[in-house]
Amino acid sequence: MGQHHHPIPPRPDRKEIEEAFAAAELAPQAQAILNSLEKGEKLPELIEINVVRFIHLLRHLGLRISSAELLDALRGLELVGLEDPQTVAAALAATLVKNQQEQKIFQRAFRVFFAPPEEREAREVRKQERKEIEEGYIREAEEDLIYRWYEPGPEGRSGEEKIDLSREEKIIYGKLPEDKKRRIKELLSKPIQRNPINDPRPVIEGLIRSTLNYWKHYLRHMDLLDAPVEATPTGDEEIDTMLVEIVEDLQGEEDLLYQDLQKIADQDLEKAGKIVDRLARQLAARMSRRFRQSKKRKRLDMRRTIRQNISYGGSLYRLRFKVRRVEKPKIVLIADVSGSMAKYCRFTLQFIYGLATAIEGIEVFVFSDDLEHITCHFDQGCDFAATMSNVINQSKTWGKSTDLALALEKVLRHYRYLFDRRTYVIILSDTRTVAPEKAAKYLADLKGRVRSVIWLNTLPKREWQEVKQVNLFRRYSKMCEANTLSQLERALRTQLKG
Amino acid sequence: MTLTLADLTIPKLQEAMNRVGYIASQETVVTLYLALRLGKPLLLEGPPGVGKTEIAKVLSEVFGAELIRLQCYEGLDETKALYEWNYQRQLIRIQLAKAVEGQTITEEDIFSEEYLLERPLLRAIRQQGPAVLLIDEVDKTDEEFEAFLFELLSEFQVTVPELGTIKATHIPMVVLTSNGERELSDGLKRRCLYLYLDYPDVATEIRIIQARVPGVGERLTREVARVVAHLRQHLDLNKKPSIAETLDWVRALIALNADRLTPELIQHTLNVILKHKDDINTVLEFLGTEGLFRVAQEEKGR
Repeated sequence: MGQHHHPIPPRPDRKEIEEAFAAAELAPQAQAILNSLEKGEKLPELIEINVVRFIHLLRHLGLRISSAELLDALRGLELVGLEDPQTVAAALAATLVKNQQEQKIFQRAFRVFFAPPEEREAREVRKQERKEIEEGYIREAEEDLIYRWYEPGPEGRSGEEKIDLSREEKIIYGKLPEDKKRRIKELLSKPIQRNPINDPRPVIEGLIRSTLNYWKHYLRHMDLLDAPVEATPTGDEEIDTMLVEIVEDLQGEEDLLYQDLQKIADQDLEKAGKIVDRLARQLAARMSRRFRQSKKRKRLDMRRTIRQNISYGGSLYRLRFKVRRVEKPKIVLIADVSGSMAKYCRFTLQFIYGLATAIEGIEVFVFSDDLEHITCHFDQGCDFAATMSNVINQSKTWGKSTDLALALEKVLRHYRYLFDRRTYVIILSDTRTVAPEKAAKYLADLKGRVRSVIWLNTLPKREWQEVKQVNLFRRYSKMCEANTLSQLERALRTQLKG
Repeated sequence: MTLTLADLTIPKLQEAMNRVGYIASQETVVTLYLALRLGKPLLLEGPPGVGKTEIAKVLSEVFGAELIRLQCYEGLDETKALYEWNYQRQLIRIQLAKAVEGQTITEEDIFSEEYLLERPLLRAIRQQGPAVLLIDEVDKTDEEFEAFLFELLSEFQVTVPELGTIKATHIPMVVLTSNGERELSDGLKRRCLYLYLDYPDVATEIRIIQARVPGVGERLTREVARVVAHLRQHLDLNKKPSIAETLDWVRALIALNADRLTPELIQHTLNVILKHKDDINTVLEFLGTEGLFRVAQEEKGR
C-alpha cells in the first residue's frame, strides 16, 4: 500500500470522470455530480457516484484502477442490476480486482463502504470516542506543559505561557507513561530567567519537541501509538475514516505480509519463513523465465531458413537461428546487521537465498562496524535455518553499531571483481550510519560500476523525511521501503528487472 | 437445450451450469456472466484442483461451442500456439518446381493458405461457429508470450506477416487459468475480468458431491466434505485435496459399500485424497484416523 514505485493514482479528475460517465451513457448524472463536487456539496446517493467514490477509496488502498476498468465496472453494474449486494460485489470485484491480495482488500473495503446504516452509525460513534480521548490528551498537555519565566531586577516581572506544540505532539505527551510525563514536568517546573534580549523559550520548546519526537518512535515501536494509516489519506473525511477502518481491519487480521518484520513474533517466524519461501519461489520462476539461457545453444529458425533458401531450390545452404536469450544477473547483498536490523536481515537473506535458482551468483556481505563476507556459509547446502544460525554464531559483526562507509570502502577495495554490468547491488539498511557523507561517496562510486544499486530501507516511508541520510543515499540508489514482507517482495520484484 | 448469448441472464446461466453438474458460487456465475456479456476474456486464478479448467469445459457444453485448448508450458512460442508453416510440404514443392523445367516459384506460392498449419489460437480466431478458447496455465509461459497474447485478447485478431491480419468472425469466449506460479503482467490482467477461485466451503462441496456422484448417501457426503475441508484449512499440506480427489474418495468409499466414515475406512482410503507420503504422515501425526473420524462427526459450528 502506498509504495513509491506505484504512486497512488490521483483522484480521478474531472475529465476522467466525464469521459467514463459519458461512455457509460451517464452524462446527465455526471454533470450533476461534477457540479456538486465542485460546490463542495454533500453528494447525492447515486450509485454511479458511489462507485466512483468507492474506486477512489480502492485506489488509496493501493489498487491500480484505470478509467477503462471504471468503465467496465459501471457497465457491469448496468448489466447485473443493483438489487442484490452480493451480485454487485461480484460484478465490481470481477472488473476491479487483479489478484488474490487485492481481492482481500476489496472485500473489506466493500463491507465498510457499502455498510448498512446501523454500522455506519457505530462507525461514527467510534470516531467520536477516539476524538474525545484525543481531546483529553490535548487538554492534559496544554495544562501540564507550561513555560514559566521571570525577569530579574527590582521591577522584575514573571509569567506563564503555553508551550507551542502541534496536535500530534500533544497527543504523544498524553500517551506517555506517567513517570516520563513527570520528568518533562519537572524540567518545566522551575521558572526560567529571561531578559528582553535573551529569551530561552525557543530552546526550551525545541527541547520538549525533540523529547516528544524521540518518544514517538518509542511508542510506535511498543505499539502504544497508532501507526499512521499506510494508505495515503484522501482529504475527504468520510473516506478517510473508512480508510483507517479498512487498514486496521487488514492489520488486525495479523496478516504477516503487512507486519513490520521486526515485530513478527517468535511463534510466527516459521510461518513467515514459509511465506518468504513461497514469494521467493514465485519471483525466481518469473526471473528464470526472463533470464534463462536457452539450453539448445542454437535453435534453428525454420521459417527464416526456408525463406532464405528458396533461391537455392530448396537445398538448405544457409541456416538461420533463433536469437539467444539474455544472461542471468548477479546479486551482491550488503546487509546491515547492527542491533535493530536482525530480523529484517534474516528475512531478506532468506528471500535472496530463495532466488538462487534464478540468478547466476549471490554474494553476501554483512556489516555493522566492520564488513564480513559470509557467502561461504550459503554454499554448504544446509537448509536456511541451519545456515542462518551458522552465520549468526560465527559472525563478529552481528548486532553492533553501523559504519556503512567502512563497509563500502572495503567491499570496493577487496571485492571489486564482483561488480560489473550484470550485478545488482542490494543494500539492506535503515540508513542510520556514522559518516553518511563518506558512505554516499563510496555509494556513488559503486553505482557507476554496476547495473543497479537497490536500497532496501527498513524504515517505514512515513519516517523518511525525518532522517536526513535518506535523501542523501537516495541520490545514488533506487530506494524502496522494505519494512514488511509485502514491501520486501514488491521491492525485489520491481527492481530486479533491469 | 443450449444457451445463446443473446438471451443470457444470470439465473439461466446458473441453471445451465447446474444442469451439467458444475455447482458454482454466485460470485463465479456473476463474473462469468459479465465476461460473456462484456465480451472480455476471463482470468481464473486459484490453487490447483478447484475447477478452473472445468469452467471452460462447462461453457463449451452449455453454449454448444467448440472447446479449443491451448496448454501452456515453459518455452511455448507462437509457432506452437498460433501457426506454423508446413516445411516438409514447402520443401517438396520447391524441389518439384526445380524438377519441372521452366517453372519458377515465388514466396507467395509457398507461404499461402495451403501450407499453413493452424494452431489453437488461430483456430479459435477463424472458427466459424461459437468457440471457447481455453488458455490453460498461462503462468507457465514467459512474459514475451504474454505480450503476444495482448493483441489477441484485446482485438481478437492476429497478424500473420505472410498473410496479413486475421480478424475473428465470431468472438470466442476466452478463459485463461493460472495457478499463481508467478504473477502475470499488468497488461494481460487489464484485458481480462478476474476471478479468484478458492476451494469450496463445506455446503458447496456437499452440493458438488451430490451433483457428480448420483445416489450417494447424505451422511457419507456430509462427513467426507467436512474431513476434506478440515484437511485443506487446518493442516499444512504439500498438496491439498482437489475437488476431483474428493469425488474419487466418495466413489472409492461407495465401492467399499460404505454409507459413513469409520476410522478403518479412513485408514484404508486416505491415499485417495492425499498423494504425498509426507502429507499422509502429517495427517496421521497431527490428527490420526481417530481424529479425522471425530472431524467427520462434528456438527457444524460446534
